[in-house]
Amino acid sequence: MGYVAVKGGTQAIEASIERLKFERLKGQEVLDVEAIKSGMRGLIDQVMSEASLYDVGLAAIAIKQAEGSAEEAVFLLRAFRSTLPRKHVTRVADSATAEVERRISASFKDVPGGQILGASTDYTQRLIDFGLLSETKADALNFLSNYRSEDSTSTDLGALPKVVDYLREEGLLVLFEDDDQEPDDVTKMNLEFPTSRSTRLQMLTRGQTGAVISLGYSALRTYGAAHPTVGELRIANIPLYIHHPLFEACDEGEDYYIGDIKVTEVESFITTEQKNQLGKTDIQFSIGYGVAFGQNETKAIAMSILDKALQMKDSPLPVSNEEFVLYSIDTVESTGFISHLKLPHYVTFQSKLDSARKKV
Amino acid sequence: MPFDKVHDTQQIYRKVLHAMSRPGEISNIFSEVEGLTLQSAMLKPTVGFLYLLLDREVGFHVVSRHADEVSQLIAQLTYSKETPIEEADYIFVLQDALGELPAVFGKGKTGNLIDPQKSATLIVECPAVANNQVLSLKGPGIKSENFLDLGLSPEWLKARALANSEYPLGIDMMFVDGMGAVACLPRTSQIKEGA
Repeated sequence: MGYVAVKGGTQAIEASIERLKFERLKGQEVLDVEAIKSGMRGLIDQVMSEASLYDVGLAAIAIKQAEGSAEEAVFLLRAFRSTLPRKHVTRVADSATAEVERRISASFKDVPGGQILGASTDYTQRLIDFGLLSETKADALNFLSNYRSEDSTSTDLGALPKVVDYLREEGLLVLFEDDDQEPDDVTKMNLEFPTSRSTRLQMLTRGQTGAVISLGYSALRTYGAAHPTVGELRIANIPLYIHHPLFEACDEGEDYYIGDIKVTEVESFITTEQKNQLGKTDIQFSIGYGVAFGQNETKAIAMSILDKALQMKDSPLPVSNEEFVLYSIDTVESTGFISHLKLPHYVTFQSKLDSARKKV
Repeated sequence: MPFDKVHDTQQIYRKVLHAMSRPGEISNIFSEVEGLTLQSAMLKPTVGFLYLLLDREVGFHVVSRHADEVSQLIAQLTYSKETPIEEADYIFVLQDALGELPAVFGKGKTGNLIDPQKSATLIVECPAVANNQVLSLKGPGIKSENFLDLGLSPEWLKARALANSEYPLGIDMMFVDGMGAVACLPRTSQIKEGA
């Protein structure tokens, strides 16, 4: 026998699911998945990033099914993701050699290779374009045939130097050894505190966009002098390779190319003060790192702030408390736990009522 | 019918899951593995278990006179990696090495108190898996008492009891014979000899 208080209701549930379908279709329009794929880039990138699953087609279906709710679409994709076998792991990918679509630095005006604005809403006036109401396919095709992408042959977009290398060469960055430890995998284990950096970065990059931005902002407001500067924000298509599963050691030239992923990568510079041997304080820079699937610029910058904040273990800031940050930003964790409040609590609530009445 | 990697593996999964939750009850996977054409030192049902259990996320170890050959084959089939027996998630004890079964318990991992699930699972090829009153089983998943006859000499019982003495640590076992009969003994089952 199950939990008697919540038995029954099957017909009501079936009717509710039917009603959900009705709500999706009552406008008598069927949303084309291809249309979502080509026109909802922002939402798709957000959903893929929060779901940790890079698949534009699946994200588009999930968005259609979820009627545009990012929370629900991410839940669908995470559920689907959990059923997939993991057959291969790619080689370590390097964004420095990836084909760049956009690359800006807020730290140096004249970065080698130049500021490459790419596609961004940053430079628009944020006025609603009512012309879109009557946009036709012919307009689109017309625009496309007139559009010529600027072939700036002078710049090799696949070999733009990293801005951090600048500071590194000048000795202004705190240097670290390469850490080649096998990273933890947060999708296969429970969070345990204190966490490793690989755990934190994974949790941050799949965090709910709004939550990551809010918490990142809260850190920024209280930072005082240690204001991070965006050293580099790049949006790049990173090629991924896998090695032959049976001959791990074989030459990299024998790798299999499996496709590109578009990511937003941010390296923020944060000043730190260190006492030198003479007892004077030297100012050095350390890096906060942010990366997210797709074009998710605000999220990636906020992630870089949180990455740094979480390394400051002695800080009194709420965002330096990893348990607070990492649990709060995960979308399935937080929306799931809040949603569970909608489930029947008849018995627990009755017992609370009981004890309240007894006191009177 | 040739072996269907998706649906036959799913069927095997359901049956092994049943056998694991009802220790001592025998499931039969012969009809699923019948279509396997692979020639090896392993029994056909054991090959079915490879598709069920192994991928590149887990490590395995084979105890057999033909261990090298079989391990290489398993790696090719599943991309799983061969590990020392102390680190293996799945340990296959083949028919030709049943004498080494007791020693395997001392080497296979039993998990730790935070993660008792990070323990080894043993897959043992038996002469015959039947319900004769040779071993009497009690514990979770058994209403009163179940009986099992694995056709093995009983030295392994003590070794198993020792490996499982500190619950929740321990080693889970799956038994299979050439006719596809499967029985399981999770670490929680208590075994007594005789009826």
